[in-house]
Amino acid sequence: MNAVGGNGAMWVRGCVTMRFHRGIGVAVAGVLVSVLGLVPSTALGQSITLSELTPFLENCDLGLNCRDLGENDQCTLLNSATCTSEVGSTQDREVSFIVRTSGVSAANQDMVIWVESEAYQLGSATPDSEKCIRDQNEPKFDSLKLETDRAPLGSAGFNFPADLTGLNLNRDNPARTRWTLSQIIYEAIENTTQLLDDTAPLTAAQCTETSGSLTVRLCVAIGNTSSVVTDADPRKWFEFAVDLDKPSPPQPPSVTSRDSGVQVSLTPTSVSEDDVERWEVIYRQQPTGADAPAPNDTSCTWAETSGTCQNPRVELVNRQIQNATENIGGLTNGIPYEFCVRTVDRAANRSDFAAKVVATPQDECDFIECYPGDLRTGCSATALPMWALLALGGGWVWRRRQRGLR
Amino acid sequence: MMIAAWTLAAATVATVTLGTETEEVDPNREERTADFGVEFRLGPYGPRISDNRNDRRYFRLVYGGGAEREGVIDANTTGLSAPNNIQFSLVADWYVFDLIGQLGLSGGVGFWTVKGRTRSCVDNNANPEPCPAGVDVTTVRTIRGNTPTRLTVIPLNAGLVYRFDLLDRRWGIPFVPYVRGGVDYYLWWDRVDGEISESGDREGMGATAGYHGAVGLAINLSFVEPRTAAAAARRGIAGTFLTGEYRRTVADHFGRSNRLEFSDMTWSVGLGVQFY
Repeated sequence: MNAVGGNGAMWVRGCVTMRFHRGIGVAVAGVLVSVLGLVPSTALGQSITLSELTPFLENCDLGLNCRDLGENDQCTLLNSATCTSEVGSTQDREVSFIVRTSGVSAANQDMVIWVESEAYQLGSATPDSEKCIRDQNEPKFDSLKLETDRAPLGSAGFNFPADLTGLNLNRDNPARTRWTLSQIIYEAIENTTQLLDDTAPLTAAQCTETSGSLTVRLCVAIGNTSSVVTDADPRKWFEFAVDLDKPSPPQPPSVTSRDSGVQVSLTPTSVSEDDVERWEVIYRQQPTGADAPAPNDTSCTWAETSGTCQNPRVELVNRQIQNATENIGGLTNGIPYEFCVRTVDRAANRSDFAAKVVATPQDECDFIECYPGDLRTGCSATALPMWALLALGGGWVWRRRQRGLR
Repeated sequence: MMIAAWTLAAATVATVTLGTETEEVDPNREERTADFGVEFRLGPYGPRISDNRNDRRYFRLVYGGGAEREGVIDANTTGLSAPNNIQFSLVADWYVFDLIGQLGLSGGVGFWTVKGRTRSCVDNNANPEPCPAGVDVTTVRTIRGNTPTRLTVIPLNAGLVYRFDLLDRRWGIPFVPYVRGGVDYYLWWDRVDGEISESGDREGMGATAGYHGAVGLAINLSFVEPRTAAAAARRGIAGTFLTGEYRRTVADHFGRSNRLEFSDMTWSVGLGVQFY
């Protein structure tokens, strides 16, 4: 994910996971956000400003979806894959954040936090001056009145998307909701970061998109904001894009049997989309007996139903796909294994599986295993006298040199 | 070898033409001898592996011509080459006696590695099948396997070196013949698909001791840039040398036939620097 902040460019790094339940487009995300305030308090009545908005990230599941954020202030797609089958849970991702400010609040200043959405555009084509702006016609939202002459530190959080049910986030309807800061403390902060554990559920909402991409923007503003937020008001935001489209499956990989392993290779023709990030290989021993698959069965139903968190699982992380290969070791020779591969895009959407391929690791002779003669391995104590003699000789020479003899 | 020959010829000519100038630059050369020397060497190397023919043939199957050849190889297949990769080594000398030349202690470490492939037994139709237990793989039909292997050798050695540098010191003739001799300890390990191979009570790593002797010729390159060499001498650099060496190594664990043998006779070239 990449975040873009208002009132000055800002970008962040971290890991984010958003997942959408297939069909209903439910997303899950984990983000922790802070607004940094480092300027000490000054004269009474000086207006407060937002200095920086920095997401922190948590709940990144299994590390699978953790990745660096995008570059050049460009929104990076977040995943829309379902979490259900992977971790056996429908838990949403927590989006929580901290708001810090520079300076102290003046009289009659409010702090408001809300979210808005729009059609996803690469590079976030919406001008900054039009982001996080509210006018009189927008639904009225509450705001938090700040105490005068205090440096506020606030926190809030929500679960994405469950807590947004009814928000009507989609590409065509800029939607608004707001969060009331459930806890505000006032503190003079210098070079410290304080995280508050507060993830109170927020306004009910619903994400109505089931395909395509949209941008979700979290906004924070401070000022006389009870009804209107203008471009002149201090505000910060960060955006994350939601990709609801799963990629196309790759071509079936080629597999090469090895000694106690199999090499899985994808060719460049396996890829059909630009945003492919990696591939996942899921494999198992081929069932036997009543569970044995039909001879021509190439389906990967077992991989779908068992989920990606079942072991073993291998990810092909090679983005340069010219010769993307993965060596899977630790297999039993002579036992057939089934391999299913699917594509994972930059938003961690997972494609359908390619047709299953089967390979059987084979016993091969390595140099040590089949060395025909008598071979003794390991280190030997035979050389110890040799090294001791050398050490004695070196010591004798050293002493001569120390005494000036040559 | 051509390069070494040309270098030798050039050095001879340069010695004749520049000898006087070199003497003028450093008239006190004889009074100073180097204390230390370091040298980087490289040259072809191919371990013998064993005194048993079948063992050597198996080595060639896995790491030599067999790893490169397609198709079935059986006991009658001929022409399997042995690997002969480049070995790199770093040698350090400590000259402790001045006996018309420099006599000192020498130590070195090297690196040599070779990539190969496993072997897979096949039936009469060239279909892979498990190798029969206990069979000598060099006597049955095999094909190149799909699993990469790598043998890595780290030779350690220590001993004495004697450099007859009187010609160079007294008359500016830049040739320094030298001899070396000492003991060796070859550490090795064998990896299959990135993992140390293991089979029964055998593990894919070990060590073999031995000894070596070498003769060589070093060419002092100071004649190429005598003024630079003189300036370097004031900073503690006694000279820069191009060397050629012929070495005989007997690394069979002093006659033990059950150790991998790393004996070889080979040449190498190097570039060395000596310090005061």
